[in-house]
Amino acid sequence: MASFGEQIEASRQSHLAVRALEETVRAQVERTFQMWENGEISNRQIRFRLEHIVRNAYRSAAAVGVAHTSAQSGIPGWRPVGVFNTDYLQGLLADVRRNLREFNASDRGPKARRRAISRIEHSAGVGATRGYTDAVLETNRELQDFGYLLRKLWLANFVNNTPCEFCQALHGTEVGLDESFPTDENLLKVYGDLKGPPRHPRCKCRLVILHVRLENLFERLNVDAPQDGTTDTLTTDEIQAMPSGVFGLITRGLRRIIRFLRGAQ
Amino acid sequence: MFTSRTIRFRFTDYLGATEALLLVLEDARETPKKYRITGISPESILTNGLLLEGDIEEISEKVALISGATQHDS
Repeated sequence: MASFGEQIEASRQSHLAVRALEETVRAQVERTFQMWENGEISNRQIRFRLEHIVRNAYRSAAAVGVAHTSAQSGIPGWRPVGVFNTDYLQGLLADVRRNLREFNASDRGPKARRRAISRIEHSAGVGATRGYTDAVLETNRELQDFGYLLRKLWLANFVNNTPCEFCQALHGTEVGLDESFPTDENLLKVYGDLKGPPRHPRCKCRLVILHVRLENLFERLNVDAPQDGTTDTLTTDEIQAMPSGVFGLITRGLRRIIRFLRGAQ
Repeated sequence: MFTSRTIRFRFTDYLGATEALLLVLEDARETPKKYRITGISPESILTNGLLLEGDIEEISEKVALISGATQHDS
């Protein structure tokens, strides 16, 4: 998976799995509410079940993110640390409890019901999207420590989808691994932080972290029409013409991988 | 006397491929000799081998010492 185009395509495939997961957990929220209304589960159980759905959405999507980065790295035997619990997830779980409390304190009419379900569905859906984002960030932090050169991008989804103005503005934006993407919070508040998608509930954007390697070092990046500009051949003249900082990063990264692989043997 | 030669090295594990790549890159950075390297990632070297073309006598001896390397003249 060397070219930027191949890496972008691989992230699209992983993100499709996350979006399928999001749809599933949203349906689970509504079904759980119905079970509660039918008396199949108690007042106490509904809270735990809904929290369980959000937690599982976050952690399952995070597992997809870990598997994606692991495959992208190409390092055999590297098992990145998974993402299990974060402040972001705790915030979503607190939202579930608050929305349930507000529903219980309301007239429990159709409008209040719809609002509660919709908000909890959003928590589950955002949990899936953000779980993937957090896992991709965390695993790539490990690779950055290995010496990997990384490029972090926000990509909006234009396939069977018209992104909102905020997501369109973010499309193709590039920031540092631990930096937040720039956005106008006065018009639409950011939930938590914007180190990656989602920008809002039902956001179909995705985080792409490109691994810069010798093969794609000089590849021009066009996120809308990525070309395979990689090379598999270098001459001694080209290597000697490389900036020393870039050459040093590449060789330091290889040395760290060698140390890791020798340690794993 | 300058002699041009082409050698393909094959590796059976990722570690050997990575070690060979590092060795060749560091040599290529400093050497006054001229050669061409095909296979500039461990994955590519594992799949297609590491192909060195040009004035490669010294570096090819070093690469051949890496465990798991097998050498084929092209």
